Amino acid sequence: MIELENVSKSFTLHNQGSAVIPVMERVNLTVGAGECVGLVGASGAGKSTLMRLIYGNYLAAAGRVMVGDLDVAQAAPRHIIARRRETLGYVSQFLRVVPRVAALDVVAEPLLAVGTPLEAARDKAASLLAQLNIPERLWSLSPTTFSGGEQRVNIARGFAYAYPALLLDEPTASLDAKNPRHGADPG
Amino acid sequence: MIKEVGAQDMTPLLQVNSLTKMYGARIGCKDVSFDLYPGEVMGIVGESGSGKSTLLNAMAGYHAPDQGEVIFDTRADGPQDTLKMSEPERRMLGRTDWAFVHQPARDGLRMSVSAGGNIGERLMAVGGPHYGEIRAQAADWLGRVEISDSRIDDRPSAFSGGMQQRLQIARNLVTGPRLVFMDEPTGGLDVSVQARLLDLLRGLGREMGLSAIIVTHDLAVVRLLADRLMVMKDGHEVESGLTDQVLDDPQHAYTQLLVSSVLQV
Repeated sequence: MIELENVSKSFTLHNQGSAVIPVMERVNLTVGAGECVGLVGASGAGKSTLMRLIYGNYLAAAGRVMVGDLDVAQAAPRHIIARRRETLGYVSQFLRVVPRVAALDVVAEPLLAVGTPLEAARDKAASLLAQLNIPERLWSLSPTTFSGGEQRVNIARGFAYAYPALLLDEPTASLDAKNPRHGADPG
Repeated sequence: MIKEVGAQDMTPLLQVNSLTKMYGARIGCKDVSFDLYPGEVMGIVGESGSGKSTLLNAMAGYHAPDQGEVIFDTRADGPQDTLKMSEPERRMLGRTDWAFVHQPARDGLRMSVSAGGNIGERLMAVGGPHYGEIRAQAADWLGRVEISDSRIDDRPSAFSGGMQQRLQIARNLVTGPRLVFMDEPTGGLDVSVQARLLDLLRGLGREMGLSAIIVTHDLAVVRLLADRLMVMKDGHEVESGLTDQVLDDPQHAYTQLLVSSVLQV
């Protein structure tokens, strides 16, 4: 499903004396369909960078980043976007959406993107928000307006469409001790 | 379900090849090339004077470029260089498959004609249906851009900036264009109005499967609207790629400067 071959990544800061920050070198990783792999390491070890390389958000300096049969390190934007829409989901602790859009619609959006009818998409979104312990009166509000909203809505959004592969980057990092359990067991 | 698109099975909707526009000895835009595929939204960013609006106007046929090709995949005859089309052919394209959203909105509206008339005009220009049907479609489109149909007989001069922009979008999309050029679509609007407009554009784009080229200096706007990004400086393309990749992992010195210069709220 996901296969990294000799992947290297460094950042060149052109406006800061062209400093080169090496982040990872010759990383290999194979994740088969149905496998659940955990990445652990200290801050700065490159966990998030690895996830972003797989998602195509960072550009690999060398190596191959295969998601299915697509090399994300080389692919045209439209092919990466199709992969993200249909195959590869990504949940982080940050949410980037249009301001003031209702939480329910933020969660339903990935389903609409694959052609799910509006009613069905909203029903699925509602059941996910309920599972994540978000009271119904908050569903019409923007996720940024209520406590833990961004993280929980982000998780719901990540699970709305049944992606064959999902990248989870500290998705429960800023939730309290009671809420992560709801996040960890979305059914 | 939207089908995964293979690498070879699609003709680009638009192919821009080595497009150059000079203002005397000064470069407007130089040697810009890219392919735009059906359903893709491309953002063009850069500072004032970077050539992004010049490029947009040259592609759309408003300014005749000095060199290059702008090949559009027409419904009837397949890929055609629009720069070699006759004036009537190009005008027809501009009323049917192409749309141009101007900034400010009043540049793209007829201020002395009612809101309904502004929307109906494009339908009539393509030999549209009879009056009742045109009015019904105009009312439908006012609803889609969230303008009450009680305003159908009002002139756009009585509308707020945000409403004028939404009306301009309705006027442009009513004929079901396949390619929309947008010049700073959220420019000059209050931030509260911007957010609503962004949500509207995303929804309409998704429903209609629109391809669009959006020029803006606002990186937050392209992050939310564009699939891919071209960064321009001094009339040249300096970097292009997947929007979030270019913004989060910029490779070129100028893009790094641009991204790191955005003020945080």
